[in-house]
Amino acid sequence: MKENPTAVVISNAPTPEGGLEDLLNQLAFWEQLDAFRQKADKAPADVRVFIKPDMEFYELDSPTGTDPGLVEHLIDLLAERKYINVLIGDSLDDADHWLENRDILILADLVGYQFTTKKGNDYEIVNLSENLIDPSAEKEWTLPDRRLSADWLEADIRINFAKNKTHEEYGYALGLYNLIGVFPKRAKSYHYFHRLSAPSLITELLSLTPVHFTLIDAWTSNHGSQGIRHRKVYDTRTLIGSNDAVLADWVAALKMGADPSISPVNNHALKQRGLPAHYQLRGDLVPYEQWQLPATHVRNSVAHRNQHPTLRHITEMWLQQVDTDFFPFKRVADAKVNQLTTSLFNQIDEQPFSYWGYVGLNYFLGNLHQLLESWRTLYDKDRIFRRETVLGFDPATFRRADFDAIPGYIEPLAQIVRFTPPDRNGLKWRYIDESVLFEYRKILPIPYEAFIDRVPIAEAVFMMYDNIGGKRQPIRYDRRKRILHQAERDLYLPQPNWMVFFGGKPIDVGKIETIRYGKDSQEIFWRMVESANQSARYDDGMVRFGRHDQGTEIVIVARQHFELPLFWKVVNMDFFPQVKDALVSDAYVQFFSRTMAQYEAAYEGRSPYVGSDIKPDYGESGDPDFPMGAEQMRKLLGLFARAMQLIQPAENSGKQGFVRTDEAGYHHFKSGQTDQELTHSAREIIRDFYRAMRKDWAYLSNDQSGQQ
Amino acid sequence: MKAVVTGANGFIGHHVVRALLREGITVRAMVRPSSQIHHLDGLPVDIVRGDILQPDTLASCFADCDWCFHVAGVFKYGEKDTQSLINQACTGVENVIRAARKAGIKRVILTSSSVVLGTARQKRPVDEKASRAGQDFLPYEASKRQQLEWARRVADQQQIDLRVVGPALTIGPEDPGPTESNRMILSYLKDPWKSTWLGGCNLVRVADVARAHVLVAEHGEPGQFYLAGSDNLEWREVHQMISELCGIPGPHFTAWHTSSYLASLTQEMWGALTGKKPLATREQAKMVGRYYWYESSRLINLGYQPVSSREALVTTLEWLVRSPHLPDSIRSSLNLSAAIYEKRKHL
Repeated sequence: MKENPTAVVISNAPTPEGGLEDLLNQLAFWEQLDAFRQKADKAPADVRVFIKPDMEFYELDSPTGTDPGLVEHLIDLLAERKYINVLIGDSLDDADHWLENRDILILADLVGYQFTTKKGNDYEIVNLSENLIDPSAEKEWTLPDRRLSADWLEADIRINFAKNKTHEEYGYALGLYNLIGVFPKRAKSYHYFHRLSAPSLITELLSLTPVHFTLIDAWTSNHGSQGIRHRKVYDTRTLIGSNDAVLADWVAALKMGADPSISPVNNHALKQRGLPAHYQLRGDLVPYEQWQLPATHVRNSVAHRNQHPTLRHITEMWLQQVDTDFFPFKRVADAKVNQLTTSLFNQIDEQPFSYWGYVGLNYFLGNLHQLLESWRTLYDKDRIFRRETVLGFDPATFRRADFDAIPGYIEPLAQIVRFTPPDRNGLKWRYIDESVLFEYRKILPIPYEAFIDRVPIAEAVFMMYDNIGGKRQPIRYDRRKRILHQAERDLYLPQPNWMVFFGGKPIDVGKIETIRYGKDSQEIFWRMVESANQSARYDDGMVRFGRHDQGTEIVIVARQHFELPLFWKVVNMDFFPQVKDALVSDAYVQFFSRTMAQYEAAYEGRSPYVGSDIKPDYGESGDPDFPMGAEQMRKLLGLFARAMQLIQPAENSGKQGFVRTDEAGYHHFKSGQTDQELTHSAREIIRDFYRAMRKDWAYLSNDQSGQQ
Repeated sequence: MKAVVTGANGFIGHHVVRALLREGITVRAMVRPSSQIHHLDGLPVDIVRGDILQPDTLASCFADCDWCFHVAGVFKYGEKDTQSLINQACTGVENVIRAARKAGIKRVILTSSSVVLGTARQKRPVDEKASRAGQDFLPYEASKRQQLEWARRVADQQQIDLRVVGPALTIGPEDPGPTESNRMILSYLKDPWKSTWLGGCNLVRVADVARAHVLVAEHGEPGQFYLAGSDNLEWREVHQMISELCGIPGPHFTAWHTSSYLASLTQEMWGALTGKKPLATREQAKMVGRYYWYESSRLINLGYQPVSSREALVTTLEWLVRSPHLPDSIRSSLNLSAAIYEKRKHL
């Protein structure tokens, strides 16, 4: 259907409806639709057409969502050609947690969808968070969250009707961004912007459920640094369309005067799918005059802030300009905070004070999060959220011979390192072509058969220390249904962990792997094929589980080169080889000794991974653990209240704690601290501190026992 | 022979139950009405519900028994209300002795603590004859001391044969809490700085403490106090052993009195703010620099043969690394020694 990839720009049509008709004609929309119908041998009325408009409305008649009048006009045009089997849909999003009237049907009704067009054509609006099915039983399905709306999946023709608008984090939000609404979860900030990666998800979705046409409503647009957070109308009087989803956004971004790759969503799609090899551009490509894209400071600071899902969720709630007559806040506290913050930050393009205040606040919150994550990376890994990913590359592009060639590449390297003398840590390692080649070996006193039974060799790479997510995809099996070839993507915490203080990013590597099963050993060989965030240049190696007199011998050989943060590129440690060697050796010994511990943990039946999972149903209706904005405030205030209780005397606070009601019905209260008690507590602390110091003094004065 | 064990679902309690069963003694396990009893699952015991602070619930629990092992008690550091701890301990033991008398039980074996004998500031073990005059007791220690004195007085009045076991720092597997002593190991494993502190302790395996209870019941003398300990070690040695057994570096730092006090004060403040249990309390910080070293010669004369403290740690760590008390990320940082795997083979 996409034999002639084309993008069309219609500018300054007399009316939006006329512009849409012109766009569809120039795009050869009808011809392509008819060709599909004939190929599918269906009557027009049997062709299921799904239109996904942008319904990101927080005010009525807002330029942040697709004009319902245009969508209805498209339905009329389809109906004229007998395509009457049309559905419109979107899913619930985070706003449903904090605003009323966000149910899709109510929202659609409020913003102007009439369920019957002016010409009397009926259409249906569906909630893409409902009627979910898992298609993986019938076809190869690589989405981490398997279930999608049956209405989307079963559509014959999918039309993505997006809005032309800027986005404070992504620069712009067009057709690809609009597809996030196809995913069903309500807590999108957690699931699609953190647990999973929106750019990867959207690219994967395009592959699995192709979008046949992308239309962009740029008749009126929303521009400015805050994107959808703040209404800033621009009458661009333009409509854009393409039969290629990536091309449509590419052209629309160029019209904005933007580099199309500034949006991580589009950048990922451009890298993974690319533009069509040959395409046609029709119409006016001159950028809009005085179009305001979000400034780099704003985009970067928002991205920095939004790294934490709760911060993303809460700041969206408190910074979103909302027409509360139609979308009242569910909690008064959120409404009050929103009122205050939007009044402070609704003019950031016009008021430098507001602009820098906003940027500064974002960086402050982002840095707080980074500090917390640094602490967790080093000392509290259980509280790091794990991530799920799509594979991020197509393993079908690798031939069977590519997999089979990996051992031949690794084995000579293993031979080289085997003859390398061990260092002070007992680690054998050396530099080779700017990468580190090393061997780590350990015998676990666990019977070999029991070990390989509980620690599958196919998971040996995925179980390595500091893995915080990824995906494994088996490709080929042997006759005993054991995996022979697989593709894998791994996300690891920055290595060594303290790199996190220097802005070290997670290591993200895609690998292809071959597994060999012997009588007394099992081996997995891997070779890196890509690093989505350019965090690694080499990550190749092997793990061997072998039978040994004393149990199971584990050998890891690897060749690695991870990119360093800027600081460590400037402070070139090559000038201090002894220090560098010590750091490298210690880091690898720690990493692989802990990897061994992961294998032991797996053998014990414990989770061999660090971090905690965001549950797949997190934030869905009725989840008591979901952090509501007001709830977060309450917790914060609760901390202050408890701190005040600790220092405030009972007489002043007038508060006493209820303890119990006795059999006679008398209420018993625990009194708060009196002034006297507080004084006593303070004295006690000072006295004990003084005693402790005296004991230390006595200890220092050669009385090693500390006897007073 | 039939014995009732109070606090039978607790750490020492359920090990005492097992030790009695191994001796062929019929056991009635008494637990509070609200208690979880999964640690007693599968054991051939008669489980009864009672509360030592409610005397009227005890009569039926104690009926037809020959011995009473009073193990139930509060083992908690950081309790500000010393008097409340003392009241609970004394009221409980008095209720138990009086109920035992009414039920016709002649012998009560009380689980006390080695701390009632005090501590030394020098590296010198304390035995049952140690003088306790002038010692500064912490709230938990004071409550156990008062309990012991009160128990002896009530037992005299009631003409009950009271025998007392004073376990040292008891560690071991199947700890539902975990109790303060096993938490000591957990705290070290969780401590990113792997700190040790001045002073020392006597670590004993819970199974040996349980066995000591049976020995005292069978062969002990009325009115006597029996210390149940094992090796006397400095804290640094204990932490070194844990590090070695778990394949982790450390201890890196030695906390002195002041640093321990400030760290525990910070922990308590953070705990008060967040509602979480602090890793260490000021009461525990005051234990820094003390030597909780004990001699168990009186019990050894009865045939007591505890395993070494190292062996006790091996047994405890073998269980702890499998238990839910140890976070996954901490487990992933440990490289267990061959000694722990060897222990697994024998399980």
